[in-house]
Amino acid sequence: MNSVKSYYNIIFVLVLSMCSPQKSEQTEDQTSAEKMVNLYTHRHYQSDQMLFEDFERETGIKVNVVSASADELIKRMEMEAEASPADVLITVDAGRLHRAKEKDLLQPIESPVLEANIPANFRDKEGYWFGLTFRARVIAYALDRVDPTQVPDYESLTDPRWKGKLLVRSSENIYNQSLMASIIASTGPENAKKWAAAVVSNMAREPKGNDRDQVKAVAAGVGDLAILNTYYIGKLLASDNQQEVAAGKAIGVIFPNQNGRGTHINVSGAGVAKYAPNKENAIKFIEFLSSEDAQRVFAETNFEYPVRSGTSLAPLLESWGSFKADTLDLGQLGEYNRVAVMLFDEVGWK
Amino acid sequence: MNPIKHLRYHSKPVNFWLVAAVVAMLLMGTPVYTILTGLLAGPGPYWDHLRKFLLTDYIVNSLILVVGTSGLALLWGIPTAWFVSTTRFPGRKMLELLLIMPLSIPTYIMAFTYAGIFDYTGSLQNIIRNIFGVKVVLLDIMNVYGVMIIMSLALFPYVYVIARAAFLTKFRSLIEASQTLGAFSTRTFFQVVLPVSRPALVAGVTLVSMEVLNDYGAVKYFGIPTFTTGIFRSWFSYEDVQAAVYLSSLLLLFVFMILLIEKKQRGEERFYSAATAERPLQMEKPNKVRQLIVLTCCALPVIFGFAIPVIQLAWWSISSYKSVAHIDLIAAVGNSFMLAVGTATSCVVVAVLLLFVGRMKNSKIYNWFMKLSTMGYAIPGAVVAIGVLMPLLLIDKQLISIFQYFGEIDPGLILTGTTVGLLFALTVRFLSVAFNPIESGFEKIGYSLDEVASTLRANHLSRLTRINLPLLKGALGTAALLVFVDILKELPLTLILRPFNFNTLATRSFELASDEQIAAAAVPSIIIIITGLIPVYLLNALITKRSKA
Repeated sequence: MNSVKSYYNIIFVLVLSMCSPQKSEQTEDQTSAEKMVNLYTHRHYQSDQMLFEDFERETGIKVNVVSASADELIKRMEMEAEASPADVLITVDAGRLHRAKEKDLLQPIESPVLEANIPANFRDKEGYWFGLTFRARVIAYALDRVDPTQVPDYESLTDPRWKGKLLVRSSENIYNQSLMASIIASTGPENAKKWAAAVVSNMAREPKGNDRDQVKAVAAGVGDLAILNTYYIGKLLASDNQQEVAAGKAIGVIFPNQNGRGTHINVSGAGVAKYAPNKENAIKFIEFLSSEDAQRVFAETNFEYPVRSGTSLAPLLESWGSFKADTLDLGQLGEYNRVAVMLFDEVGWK
Repeated sequence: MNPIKHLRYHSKPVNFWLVAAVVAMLLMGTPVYTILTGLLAGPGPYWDHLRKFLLTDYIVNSLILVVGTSGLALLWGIPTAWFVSTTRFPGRKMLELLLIMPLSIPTYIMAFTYAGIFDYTGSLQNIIRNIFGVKVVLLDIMNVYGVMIIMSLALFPYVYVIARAAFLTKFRSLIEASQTLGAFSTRTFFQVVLPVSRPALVAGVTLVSMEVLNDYGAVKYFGIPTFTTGIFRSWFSYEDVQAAVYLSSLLLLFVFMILLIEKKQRGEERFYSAATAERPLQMEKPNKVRQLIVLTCCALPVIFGFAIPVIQLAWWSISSYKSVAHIDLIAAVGNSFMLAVGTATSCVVVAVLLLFVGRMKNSKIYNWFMKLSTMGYAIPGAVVAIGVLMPLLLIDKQLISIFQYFGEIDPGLILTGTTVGLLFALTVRFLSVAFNPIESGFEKIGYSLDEVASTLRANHLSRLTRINLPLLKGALGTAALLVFVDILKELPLTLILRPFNFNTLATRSFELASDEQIAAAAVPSIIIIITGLIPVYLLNALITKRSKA
């Protein structure tokens, strides 16, 4: 019988130890309720961690973080409703911010600082969300095999001459979905569907891997053209692995549609939660992220384009020069997301 | 006289035990029941689209993966378990332990690692380029067969561990009888051991299949659309929760049917030995050539399932450890450990409760409900997370209003805002991992001891603690350690349900990997593996100790 008792004792102690650190954390939170901001974020870059620490140092406001996918975080906010502890939601796609707004999870913010720092095309008209950085979805080409003038725009990827040459990741990926949404918005669903079908028939292989893998496949000669986000090229070139650097150097970058609507861009941005318990801190936090110093950190450590004009770019981005970006209302990326995915399904873009 | 009937005669129809078990079952089964109601609600507005363009792919890929991975896992798991239990060969002791090791590597990390080895800038092609100067030697492993092989390498230890425990302790007398009757080792294996160890093999394969079905990381990276892909597509892209739930319920139905068919086919056969005295098994010592063959058979799964990925991860860690120096990995180790110990304990307690009551009741309905409650393991973690979040938030919100009624304080989310909710969710999800080994443990305990205890009017508690638990020691240890290792690797539930600033090794490595920094992700991954070695070592000690006892 003794062994049973000790068994229960062990369990009891375990249960206690589970609860106790949590409790102490909570009381601590309560006493310093004024001094924190709770963040639900999809971003998990090193640059962000550095910025959170800077913010804490500067303002004394502690940044509490949960990071998961935007979809999951939005679902969690939806279920938590008015009990949600979240102050700020950060996503890597304007479509998801738009969705959060549609679901009534965000609140409009009036901030002269944000309005001054962030150009109007990078934020929601009604102030529900604010872009912090943007990235362009570009075409990478094999320097030794492709004449870049033959690929002036996304539409030219459908040319039969690229049959078996095109590399792109799966339609599961939000960046592809948003690119498709932008094409639907500018050319209509019928044309967008034709475009996607032609892209599928030009693919060098079934879609797989991430954006970096597409560049590597170009370097390996699996295909000649790849669709990817700009910052991955920066990361490849900054890699510890010399082979990855070599792969990054074997490709050139095309900013498509310079003579038309411009290259598709998407923002990574933030919105203040509808039931934010620390609304003031939340606004301060987003304002901080739009400051010149913070914007420079985004640009330099993560190879993203800062939204704030006049911020210095990473040398690599600088070397590509300026480009014409699609001026589409970014909320449309969210509007057309579902249609985009369904069209992908219909044409068999896996 | 039928011993089972006799047993039932002595247990009252309703008692504390039954109530406790039913409550536990309801709690553990919440996500499963919620999802099964999806069958009644129908498939949702986007079902036609899904069926027309996607469903075939999902079904075909999922079937290939389940059947292929299970088959390969049996192939790696059973012969190796048999050889290390019955044959003397050089390196046996070491391999005995090493064969469990792949379990400490998360499946998606294994997938990322192998992709990294085989890709253009990876080690293999680098070596070939440097030595032979040839540029293109492409072996594309990023397809359904690649995933199948990688998953089987990561998951076969489930089969190995459960099979070996069975070989070592369960059928000693049968094996020896067969040997005395002059049956050769191979014949003993195929005609006596395999049929008799079926419940153990089913337990192992069930775990493997469920892991395959709930995987999202590996199949997403390799671009293989499976049922899980469909669930997430319906849920997030179409925002059709109903379709997501419907797909999940079809998945559950599928698993349930397989279990049903297996049970029906096995019939009422039960194997348990009356004699519980355990003596060391007579080991065969074959000639040198056969020893070599056996050694190779046992070494191959270790080389591909453990050595190669670990060497690659270690290599990456050396090049990248500086870039992760700013990340607090020590706190992550502590959190991972705490979750693993807590969940392992609660899973074992709940599984024992359910199975013990099931044994007393011996009611078909109870048993099926019990099985159903543990099937959440086949559903992708993110879906379970939402299924668990719903009832927990309901309680949380009630608590908040109670607090506010008595005073103007807002306690915050007591369950979902702390590790309590996470721990509960993990128990719901991993109950199956503890359940299967304990169930096969219970199955091998004969009813005669229970019957004696029952005639002596011993109460349930003392029957459990003085007869069943001591006999189950090995199974309990196996169960707890399997859960422990699994929690170290767990990702989706922890990711969604964790409180603020709470990181585990798995979330750290995922964050780096999903940022396409696989080399940096290697550092936390290596720590997961090293931490996982402790329970793996204990697991092995436990199994071997029992066989020597």
